[in-house]
Amino acid sequence: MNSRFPAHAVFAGALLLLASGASAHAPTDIAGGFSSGFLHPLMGWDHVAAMVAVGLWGAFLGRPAIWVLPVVFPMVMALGGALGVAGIHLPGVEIGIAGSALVLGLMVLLAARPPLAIAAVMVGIFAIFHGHAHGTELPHSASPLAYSVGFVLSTGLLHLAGIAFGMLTSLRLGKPLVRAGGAVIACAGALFLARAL
Amino acid sequence: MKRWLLALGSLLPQLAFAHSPIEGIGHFYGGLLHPVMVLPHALALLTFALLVGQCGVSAMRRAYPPFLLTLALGLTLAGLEVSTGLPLEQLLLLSGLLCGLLVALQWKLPLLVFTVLGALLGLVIGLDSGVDVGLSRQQTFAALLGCWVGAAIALIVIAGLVELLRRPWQRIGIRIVGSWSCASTLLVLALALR
Repeated sequence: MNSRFPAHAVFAGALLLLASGASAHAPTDIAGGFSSGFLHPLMGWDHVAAMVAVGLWGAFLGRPAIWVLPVVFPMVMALGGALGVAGIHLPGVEIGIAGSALVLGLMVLLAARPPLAIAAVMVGIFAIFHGHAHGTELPHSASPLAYSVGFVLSTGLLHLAGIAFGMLTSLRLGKPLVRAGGAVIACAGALFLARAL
Repeated sequence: MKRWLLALGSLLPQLAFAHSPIEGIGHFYGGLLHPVMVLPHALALLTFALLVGQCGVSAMRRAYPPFLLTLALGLTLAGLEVSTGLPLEQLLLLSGLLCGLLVALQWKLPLLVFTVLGALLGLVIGLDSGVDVGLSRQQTFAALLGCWVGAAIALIVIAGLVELLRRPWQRIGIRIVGSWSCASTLLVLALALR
């Protein structure tokens, strides 16, 4: 038995079967579309930094901003995405995305508390740039609806992660920690912006 | 060596099931899962259920009867292979967009809105739930009945759960789900209409 089926040959066969099993699920339209949409915002540090910064700033701004932002941001972002899908050119998308991490990081670092309307307009403008970048990928997806559900969910979860981290502001040592997080995001944003320029 | 062969053998059943999560489950059960497995149907049902649940029992009383009646009518027409020529998937997305937006805004709506929305959504879901050509009458009936039961359960259960969520943070959570659904459907509608 051992001479006819050496152990390494059986092991190699088992690995081959595993590989085919794993790929059997990958091409399905909905799963493939959802996973590519879900991963798209997570794969770019510039997106991640800006989304988390929105959540952090929301926590600093307090109510109602803390819950208005995750409700409004995805809808404004979808408007930007619709522009991308429609093929409407938006100048300086990469600069806008990089600038969003820098500006929002600075807002958190400085613990800035402008009126809600001004904060909403600022975040809304940045949301259009982020949405546009995601929207241009949509037509190439296996399942556009699954892609858009995935990327909206992923973006929302990044906001919630930022909000959860921002809730530390209620603790004594939490505020400096959250502001330090803002400083890190602002530095990363400056780097992204330098690259984009 | 035997252990290697056992390990190898244990992988085989997994592979056999890998491609058939739905095949072989029967026409009734296939129909039952249809409204929650087809993404445009699931999103339209979810947002409508959120809206109805958010507005309470009086909205449920106005929404359920027309929805269930027109769903049965739409399924019957689909079973008879009657083609309307309407862009049904776009209409479902439009419904998801509108209901998601209304959930996010949390407006107090006239009760007639639920009757009209329920009737339209039921009809469109029914019409868009055609079955494969070549099924027998019994199989077609089982699939369509399953679809009716599945859509009814999904709507009633989700709306009922939402109605139970009364705390402020829970209401905000519902609005967030509504806005995310609205955003998802807006993008796909833009793609469909370009």
